[in-house]
Amino acid sequence: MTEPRRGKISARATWLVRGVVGAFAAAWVVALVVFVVARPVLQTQLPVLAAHPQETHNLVAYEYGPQITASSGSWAVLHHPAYLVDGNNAPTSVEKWVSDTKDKAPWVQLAWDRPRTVSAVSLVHAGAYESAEYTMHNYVIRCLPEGQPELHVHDNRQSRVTHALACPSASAVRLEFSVIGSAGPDLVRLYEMGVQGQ
Amino acid sequence: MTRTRLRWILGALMVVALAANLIALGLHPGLHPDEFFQYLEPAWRHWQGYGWKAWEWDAKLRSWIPPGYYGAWMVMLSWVGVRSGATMHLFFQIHWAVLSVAYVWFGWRAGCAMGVGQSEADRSAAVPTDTPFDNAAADGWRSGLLAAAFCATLPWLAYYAPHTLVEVPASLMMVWGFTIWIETRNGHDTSTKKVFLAGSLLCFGAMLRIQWAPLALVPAIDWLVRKRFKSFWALVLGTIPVFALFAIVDWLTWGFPFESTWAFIDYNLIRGKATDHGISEHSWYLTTIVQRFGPGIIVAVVLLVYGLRRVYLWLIPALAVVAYLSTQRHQEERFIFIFWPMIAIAMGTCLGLFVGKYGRNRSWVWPVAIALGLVVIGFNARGISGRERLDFDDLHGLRACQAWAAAQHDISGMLIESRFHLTGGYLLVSKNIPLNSYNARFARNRIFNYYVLRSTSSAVTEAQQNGFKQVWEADRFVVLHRQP
Repeated sequence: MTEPRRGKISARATWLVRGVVGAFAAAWVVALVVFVVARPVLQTQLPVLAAHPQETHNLVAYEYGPQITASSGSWAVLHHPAYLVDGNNAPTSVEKWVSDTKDKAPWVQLAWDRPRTVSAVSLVHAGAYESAEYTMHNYVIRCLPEGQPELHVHDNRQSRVTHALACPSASAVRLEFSVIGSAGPDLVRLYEMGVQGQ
Repeated sequence: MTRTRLRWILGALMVVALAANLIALGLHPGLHPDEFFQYLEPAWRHWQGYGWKAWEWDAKLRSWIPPGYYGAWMVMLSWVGVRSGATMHLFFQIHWAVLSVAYVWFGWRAGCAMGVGQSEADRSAAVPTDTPFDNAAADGWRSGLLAAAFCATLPWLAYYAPHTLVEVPASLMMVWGFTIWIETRNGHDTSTKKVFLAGSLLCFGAMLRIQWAPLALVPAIDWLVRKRFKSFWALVLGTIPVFALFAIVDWLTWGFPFESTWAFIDYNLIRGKATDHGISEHSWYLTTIVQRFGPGIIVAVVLLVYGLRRVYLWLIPALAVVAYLSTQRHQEERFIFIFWPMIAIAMGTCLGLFVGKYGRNRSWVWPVAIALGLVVIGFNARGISGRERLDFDDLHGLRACQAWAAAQHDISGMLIESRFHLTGGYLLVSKNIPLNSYNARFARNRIFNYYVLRSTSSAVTEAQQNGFKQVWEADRFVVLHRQP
């Protein structure tokens, strides 16, 4: 009587092991699919190192912990998008955001802690430190959420430029560039971005 | 020797192998830069959207299959709450340490197959049927057991086991493939399913480590020469699904079937650009092998010569890889890693043959065999610990400091006194913040509020003068934090 029972238990154990392994393998395949189809957003959340002051200031200075989201980045040479808010006025050629060469509609978005009043957006294009040809000519600046003022910039030639933009209650500013069919550069090189407000 | 006892001994050897591999992990084997940025970092970048991009990935020189493998694990680990890249890396190290225990099984099977049949009676008793323990009926068990023992305890195998280098899976697959070849060759088992599997394994290993591709030809040539056409075609057919997999993945990711394979061959062999990454003397591999063996090489050579008649075919891939890769000027020890499991199995087989021949009525033979094995293992351990230091040997402190700094809630950027991707990259940091090598110009940027520097570096004093304070240290490296 013992042998058949042992055989039955052994057969059940075998099926149990097979079931567990099969379930695990199926989970792994699902994970593989999740990995393959992943299209993550390039996003950086900097830590809050200081509180926003009462007066008008740069809302996205790195010490206030802005969130930076970009359409793409140039990872081979580490042009990190967070350099946009580092406030560095003597940068190396590395310390800038550069979009990917394949990115045909580059954009970057800077967000802060809560809705605030925005009065201007300042940009330091690559032309300030490199060839003037690297300054972006055409772009759109939008306050977010949607429905707030936006600014369409055409044929900009200034490497350091401040655009007046009055948004009464914005929690982010988004900068969208035109690189297709424009006379300007085919990728974005931007050293600094500031958002004045309070 | 009863089958039950053999099973227990093999189980014990697997436990020993696992312990050895984990001890090797605990002893901090050298951190090979390639184990991070070749496959783990691309997987992380694809999944998380940020990470350093090595030049190989611009040159389409790598297949996305290994990052896909690691990526699936990363997703699964995230499902159970693991978000830290450092923990994921540890998981992968343990994962390979566990899988490398399979060498014990391969050693057992290949050793049995090569050691079996010292007499006609043995040969007739040694026809493999359904279970791998059938050869235990003949003398093969001694060779199998000693080959398994070498695989469990050879320090150089344990050293490599917990590495996320592509050589680790490639070697496992190819040794498995060679094991099936030698089993089906030496026995009367002509199972085409097994040979088909061998073809797939050898092909997969070769596609992962393209420099080892010629080795996969050895079984094919053997079966052709011996007019075992059925086995030959089964082997060839076995390669087709693997070729198809690599072709399709390259097509989908790089735009053309075998794009990464062609790019790799073009870069390394046709244009000879591998020499840009360092050159060595043609005798370097040989010298290194001698150093790793130490005086134990005398025992190894005597054993191999003693059993050469049985193991010469098995030795062909092991020796061939050293021979033809010695013709290349760019040499790294991991490129010939497969030499070691192959040679371990061959040594164990030969030692088993010795025991089988002289040990039947002599009680001293087993102790002598074990002593000989311990000589090889002991000198190999000494050959590893006494080896010349490499530039990545002392980076555990740096890696620990990087991980510690990355875990701080207020980190906005980190400068490292080395290239950060060599010790874990963004995977280790697991935060999308600016990272770069320390230099005076980057140090002016206030977003970098953590530095990881060598404790003896003059940059430490400079940083302290600029308002940084040492907040942590590990193994000759320190973490400095910008004070508010």
